[in-house]
Amino acid sequence: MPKDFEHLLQNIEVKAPRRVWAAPKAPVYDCIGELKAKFNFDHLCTITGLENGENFEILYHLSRQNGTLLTLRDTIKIEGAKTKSITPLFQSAIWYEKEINDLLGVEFEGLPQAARYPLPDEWPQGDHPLRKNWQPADHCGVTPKTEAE
Amino acid sequence: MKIILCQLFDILIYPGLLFLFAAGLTADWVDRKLYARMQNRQGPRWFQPLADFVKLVSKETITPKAVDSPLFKVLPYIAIAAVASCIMMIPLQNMDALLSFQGDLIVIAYMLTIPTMCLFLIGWYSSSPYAAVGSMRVLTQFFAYEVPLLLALLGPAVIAGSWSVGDIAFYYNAKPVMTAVNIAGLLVALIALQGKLERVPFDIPHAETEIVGGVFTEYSGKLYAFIKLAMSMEMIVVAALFSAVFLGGSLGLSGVLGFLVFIGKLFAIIFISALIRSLMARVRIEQMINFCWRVLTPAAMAQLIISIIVRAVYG
Amino acid sequence: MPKVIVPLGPQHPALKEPGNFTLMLEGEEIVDAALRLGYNHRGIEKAAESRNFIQAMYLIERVCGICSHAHATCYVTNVENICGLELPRRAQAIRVITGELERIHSHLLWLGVAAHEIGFDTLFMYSWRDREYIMDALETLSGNRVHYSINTIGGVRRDIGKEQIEDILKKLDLVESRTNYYIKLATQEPTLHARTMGVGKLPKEEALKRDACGPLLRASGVARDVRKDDPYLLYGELDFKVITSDACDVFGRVYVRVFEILESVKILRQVLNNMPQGPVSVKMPPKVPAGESVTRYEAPRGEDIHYVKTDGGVNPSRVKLRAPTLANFESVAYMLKGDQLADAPLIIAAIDPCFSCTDRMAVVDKLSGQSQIETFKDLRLKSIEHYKRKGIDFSKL
Repeated sequence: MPKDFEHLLQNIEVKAPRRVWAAPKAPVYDCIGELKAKFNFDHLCTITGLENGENFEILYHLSRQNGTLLTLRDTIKIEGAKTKSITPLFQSAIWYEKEINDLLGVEFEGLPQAARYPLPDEWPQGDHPLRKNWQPADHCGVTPKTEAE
Repeated sequence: MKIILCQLFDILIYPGLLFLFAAGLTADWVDRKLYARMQNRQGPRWFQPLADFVKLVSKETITPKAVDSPLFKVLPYIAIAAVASCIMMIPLQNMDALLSFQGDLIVIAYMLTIPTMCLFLIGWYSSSPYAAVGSMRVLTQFFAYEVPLLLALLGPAVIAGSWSVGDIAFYYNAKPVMTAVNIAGLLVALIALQGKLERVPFDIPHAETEIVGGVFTEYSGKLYAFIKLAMSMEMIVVAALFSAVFLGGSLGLSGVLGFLVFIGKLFAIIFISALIRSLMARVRIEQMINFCWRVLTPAAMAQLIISIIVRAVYG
Repeated sequence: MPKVIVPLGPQHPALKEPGNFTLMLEGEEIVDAALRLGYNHRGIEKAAESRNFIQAMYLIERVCGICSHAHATCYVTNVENICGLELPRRAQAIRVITGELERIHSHLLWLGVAAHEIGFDTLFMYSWRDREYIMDALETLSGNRVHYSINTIGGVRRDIGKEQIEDILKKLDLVESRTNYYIKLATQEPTLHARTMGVGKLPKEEALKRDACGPLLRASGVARDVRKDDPYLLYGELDFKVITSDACDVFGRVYVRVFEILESVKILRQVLNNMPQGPVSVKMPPKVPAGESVTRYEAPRGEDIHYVKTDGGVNPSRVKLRAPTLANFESVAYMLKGDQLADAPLIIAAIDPCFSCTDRMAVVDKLSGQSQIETFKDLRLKSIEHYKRKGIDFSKL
């Protein structure tokens, strides 16, 4: 089965039954579009964002009816991290992408601008708590004690 | 002098404010206890409604800044006054009401709409979106249940041939068989009562999971205590009215015995009301209106026609 | 008629947890709905990175008070996969038992909440009373009523004895008969019908388009259940049906959940009557190797998915979890539009939302026609001012 994807994906690994890991050969948006249209990966489980030291990794967890869970690993640079939003393909991606946007600071092109999630509105811009070098400094400056002083 | 003292006693103690206050709280407790037992719960102890009342009265009353009408503070008292005046016209432990005249049935029916109007205005002047939606619902619901309720009350009056509550009760004591004619009317009235007192399935104006407290959302402290009290008192007044109009009042007895019969009927009506409350889900406002106009009103009309026929044949 | 904006939340009687739905009303009809989440973000994913693997397990169990076992199992399976541990069959069976008991208690809880949303408090009280049997069964099994903490890396913490099996089986009989009574009630009570049928329509295509999951998706006629599609633990060997309904409305969701209780009872009987013998845990290696794993689990509310990445150190380097509510959130906005205000709480409740699982800081919305947000700071200053006018000074506190 992995052979079917060879023109699309690279580094295909089957780590456990029904668990496929791969990286896209083409831009990730086109890749997911084709996986959805031709290979029945019609369910987006979630999108994970993580920092692996040098780069950001965006993991798209896609599944299909027979239980196969394909994890698509897209690696992007930390400086000016930017990728194309997959919301036109999967509507539910809006929440997952907002979360990565807020917590890691990856910009998604084409993500509808609305209320932010999950951080509050007065949270400072450019402060992303899930980054490895983030320090819980004075961000919670709305505590009653500091106000009184 | 003695007459004035007697009148003061009537107004303040029995059957006026103090009695209504005690009866209202007791009715509230009976209702809550029955409701709890039907739901497999323990329910509150007998003094709980009183404790709630005292606690609310002692709390700070907060008036929202956006409220600019003095009506916000006056309306709860108007509601109580309207309800308390009604009790004067209903025969309680004997056959005579304090005030009895031809047409007092109609006067009571109108007086009882004043608390509802108060609720509407309360919501309107609260300047809160929940209260605004609540007051719209109060008014919409009012137009739905009021017609069947009035039609149902007309049935017994037609049979008795009188517009006075006292006369109607007197007539049914003389001819107890006639009560059976009005069973359908009583049922219609009991269901409409759920709408009037805003209880499940018609507690739409203050459905807490949708619009928080409904019209009461902005009320607190003393004002809230009194508006709650007005609702409890209204339950007593309406139950007393039903027992006089549909069930023949105190059955010709007077004194303590008459009082007990009256109380018994009152609580029977509260029991049925609690039963309806615990067996049903809240309906939507448009379902409520459809039900009232398509089922209750025709039923009340049919009852009225039957009453007229019975009156013509046996009257 | 002028448009009225009614805020539903973050603090609202219909919501047990903070979420905000700003509803634009025309009369009673909802013409638009704006959703806002994140009021209860606890930063669990970040916190897990500074804890070791065992500590992180207990932390992740506390993501949710209802489906705590679902989250814990999902995480633990990931760690076991990375370590390459083979889970003993008896441990798997005990995890299935806890998981299914949890499903029953979650569905009974939901039934009560949904009944409360439509003002049917009697059903609410009854179903929560019956839920107590299951809570007791979970207590006999694990020692805890809410956070069972039955899992440990490599197996389970406690074995199950003969008396416990008999006790749980007895309670299952009770729950089964009560569930049958609820099925009768749901099909016969007219006000319940009036409030649930045709409410919150979510057609099959829309549900699939919005990646809905769990009972919400199954009530739209899609037979998707991780237990069947992607079997984990013992589910591949067990005989059970995936309950679906073509009603696509709240009634369908009631139907799916109530019948799922019966299916769970069936699963539990199969497992309890044929308990595999053997140890209940294997030893965890002293060091968790570098690796990554992703696990799906059918929580009572739908598909729960966790991702764990390790770098060979003492702490996980990334833990990602997605609770089912987030997946179903897009569907809520769709279902709300065009429905009545009276139905809004029920529609929101019908996905069995768990915002605190989904968020894992506080803003207060004060809406009076226009949206205006006040921070804790503003509110505090305002309250001090208010009491100063009354002659009490709190500013020193």
